[in-house]
Amino acid sequence: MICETIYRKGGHSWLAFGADAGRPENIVDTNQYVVRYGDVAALLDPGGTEIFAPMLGALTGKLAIEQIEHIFLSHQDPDIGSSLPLWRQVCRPDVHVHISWLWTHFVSHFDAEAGLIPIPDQGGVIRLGALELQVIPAHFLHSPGNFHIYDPAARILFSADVGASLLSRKTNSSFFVEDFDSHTQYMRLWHQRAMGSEKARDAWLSRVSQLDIDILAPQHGLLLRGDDVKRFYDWFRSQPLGEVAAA
Amino acid sequence: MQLQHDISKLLAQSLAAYAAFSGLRDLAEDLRILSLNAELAAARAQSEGRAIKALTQYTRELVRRLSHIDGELDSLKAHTYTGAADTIKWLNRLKMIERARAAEQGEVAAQAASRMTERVVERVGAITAIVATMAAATDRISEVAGQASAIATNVSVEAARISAGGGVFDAVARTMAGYAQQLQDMIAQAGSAVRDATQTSTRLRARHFSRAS
Repeated sequence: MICETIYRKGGHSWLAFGADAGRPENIVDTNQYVVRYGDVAALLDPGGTEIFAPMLGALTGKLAIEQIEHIFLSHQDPDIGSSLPLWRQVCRPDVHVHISWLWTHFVSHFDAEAGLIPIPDQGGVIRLGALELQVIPAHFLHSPGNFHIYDPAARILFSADVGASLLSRKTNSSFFVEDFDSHTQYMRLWHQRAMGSEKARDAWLSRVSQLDIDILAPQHGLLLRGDDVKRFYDWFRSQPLGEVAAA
Repeated sequence: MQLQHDISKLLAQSLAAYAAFSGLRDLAEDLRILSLNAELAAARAQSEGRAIKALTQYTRELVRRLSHIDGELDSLKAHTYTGAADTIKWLNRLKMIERARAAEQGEVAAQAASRMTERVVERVGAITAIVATMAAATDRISEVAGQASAIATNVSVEAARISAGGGVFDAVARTMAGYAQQLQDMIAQAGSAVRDATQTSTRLRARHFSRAS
């Protein structure tokens, strides 16, 4: 699994993990993120059970696992957090696990002893020392109980499935999009099919366009940076959502 | 993974023991009806049937014991499935943690694997205790089978003494002896499965958990 530092300033950094070469073909590739601030860290969307081993290997090469104080699950899907019971075996016993209130009783099927912390619909804040990570509502994009994480100091938005792209192994050679227009082909099907509400899309665009964002970091595929973030907003706004080609 | 294979084997052998006794409830019911019919026939034989009437009442006590053991076996079976499911859950997690051990930089996965192995040991211990209870239940069924066989012999002796209608009691004795034999067959089959499960459990603990336990 590749790990790339996508932001660093002093003791504050963002690490992106993904492009796992050993991943079986039938498992969708996922990105996992670690936000580190001093000697504390948050793990964002830790991933599915099948990628736990390479992810743990890559992560422990970068930081001590005891530093992880928070685990954030953007929503309830298995590729987001089915590895939760395994992480809780290796993380400190008092690690905080955050997820939408809508899913706490559902995700407990993965790990009934996790003591999930419910996030209210309006979102909130996860504190890493003096750093405040903003929990941004993104309901119905695609899950009805869905959140993103915004780091105002790093100007990074972890956007979970928004901005996600489904690339084959061969096309996945870099962590960042190099040619946005060409890249849209990998995002189109996913957004049109998985994002079911244009109203929710417009509300999200209205909310995040007010934030200073240098990097949009999705849970699948390549990250968008700089002007590509605005290009993505325009492209996303133009997409018909909830489309099924042949129902 | 060898551990998973050994635990699957232990579960299969435990379940084979229950399967051997799957006909126990029907057999107990057949025995109960036989004893009722024999009691009616004994009443018709009046004073000649007095001894057989006493034997049929004792047979119903055996039926009551069999029914009680059958209920215990149902409960043990449910506990075996519950314990098996819990063990499988922890084994799957342990398997994933073991995969991570090779990849990690440090000892956290190794430490987690050690803790999780202890949890698996606890669960295997619980299944082993169920196997021991199962062995005790098999012994009690064996006692019932022996007593049923003795009653069949006594009914046969009494049938020879009755001047009229002894053929009915001969048939009762033969049928009861057949039921006792069916019980013995179940015991032989279940006993074999229980012995296998006990051996597997002993080997499993020695092979995988000698340090943990």
